[in-house]
Amino acid sequence: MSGIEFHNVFFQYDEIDSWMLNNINLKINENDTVALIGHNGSGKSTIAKLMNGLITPTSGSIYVGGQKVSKKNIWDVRKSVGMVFQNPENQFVGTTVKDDVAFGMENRGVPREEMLVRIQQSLDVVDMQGYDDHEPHHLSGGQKQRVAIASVLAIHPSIIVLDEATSMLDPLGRQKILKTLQHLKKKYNMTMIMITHDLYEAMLADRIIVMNQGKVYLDTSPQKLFSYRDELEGIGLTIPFTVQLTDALMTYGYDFRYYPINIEELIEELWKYNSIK
Amino acid sequence: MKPSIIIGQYLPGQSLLHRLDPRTKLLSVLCFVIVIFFANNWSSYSLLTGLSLLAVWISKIPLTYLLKGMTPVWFFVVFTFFIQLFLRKEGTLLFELGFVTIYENGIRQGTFIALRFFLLFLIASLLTLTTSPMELTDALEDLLAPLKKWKFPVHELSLMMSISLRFIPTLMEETEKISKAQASRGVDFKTGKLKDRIYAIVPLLIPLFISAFKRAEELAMAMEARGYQGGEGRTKLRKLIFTRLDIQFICLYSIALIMFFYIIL
Repeated sequence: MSGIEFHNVFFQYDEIDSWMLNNINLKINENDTVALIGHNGSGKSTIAKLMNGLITPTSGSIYVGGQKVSKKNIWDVRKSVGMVFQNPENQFVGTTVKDDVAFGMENRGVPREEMLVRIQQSLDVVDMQGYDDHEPHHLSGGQKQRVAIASVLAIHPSIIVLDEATSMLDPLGRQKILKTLQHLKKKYNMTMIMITHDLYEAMLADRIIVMNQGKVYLDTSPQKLFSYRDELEGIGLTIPFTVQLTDALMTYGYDFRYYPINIEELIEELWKYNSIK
Repeated sequence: MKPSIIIGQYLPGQSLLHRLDPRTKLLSVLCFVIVIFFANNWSSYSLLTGLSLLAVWISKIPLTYLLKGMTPVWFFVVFTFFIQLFLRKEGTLLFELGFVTIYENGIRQGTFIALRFFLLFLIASLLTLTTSPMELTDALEDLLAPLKKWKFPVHELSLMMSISLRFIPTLMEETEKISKAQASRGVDFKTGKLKDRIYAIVPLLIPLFISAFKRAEELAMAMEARGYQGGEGRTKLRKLIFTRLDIQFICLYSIALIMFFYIIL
């Protein structure tokens, strides 16, 4: 039981502000990987914070794992929802990697022996084994972000929310995080919610929800996303280069059997283009 | 490496002193600080000096490194010596030139007080040199734990300390970045009158404070998201282990202290 449901959710930070979220109805199924995309101020990060009870909706209700989120069960909800935030520096609590991974477990009263085992396991998953005693200022942004993912995994959540977890990283660090996420998706039964403004990143998901001005603008699959090209560009999202290239090729009469969504797939399609025909 | 002042610095190592439980070290230093004020004659001072030098030897930290690191402190040591030297007018007169008089007790007290000052700094530096700040924090939390009965926020205090320690390098980096950014906009930190240089710090401090507050807010949110709800029901990864080495150390230290009190009484 680790789905998430939003029923008629409204949210505003201040009474005089306009609605950050304007009547959101959403149902995210268990073990789905969902990408929430939209430009700044579209309400996507607000949704993330609502899922973890960090903020409460102005009206409407949210169900996490079948339980209505309220003041009473907020700590139970946080046990099952792990969050990774945008800034790698400002979510690193411990003085060393080991301490940081342990922080969430310490809060939940996990016994020490269990902690030691889980620290190793979760550092293994994010490929940071051997960094136990490193201090945060000796790690790159990408490494810190992987530690943040490890510390979320250590508490064995059923839902993991990544709030623009890659937006402050360099391309290499980002690649590595995306690989880690793909690995997680394949190997673990986990509901994964990725919040991003990068369309390429969103392609990792099974389902893509596009937000605009506090409303669900599109709810589609990665394969179909780029058939909404004009809509996406209309709300200020940039179409990835591969997609632009594919579309340009198509106008020149190239006909792809299968719409490529990343560089590898495009190359795959291109190099055997003539041999198939 | 040029050590400006070494008290507060940590030099990682594997010596016996490094491996002692931080609680043992903290209490021993505290004990030393109290005891040194009871020293009143040459033999008691030489015992304490000998103990301190022994500790330095065990720590495997070169004495020259320690002495160089105390450069700013030397001034005070010498200063206290001369104050005592000129102002104490007891005992036999040794030297007289105009209104400058030096008495036997002046030399004695001057040496004692300067030595006391020096030893206190030496031992305090040795504590921080052989104990990481995190270990000290843990030791402090553990030793203050009984105060929880009187609602003293021991856990919160140690968390505050560890978060401050963790953010020191972050804020240093940030200061560097901001000062470069401001210098590129024409702020001059290095020349001009003292007043101007103090004013130049304002455009450095304001952005630094703003970003520190922002960080604090984000960190608080991240901590809450990771289930932090105060010290209640928390387990700890860090564990202090009291070993046989500590017992041996305490035995030897106690013997030395007994000898000390035997000398002064």
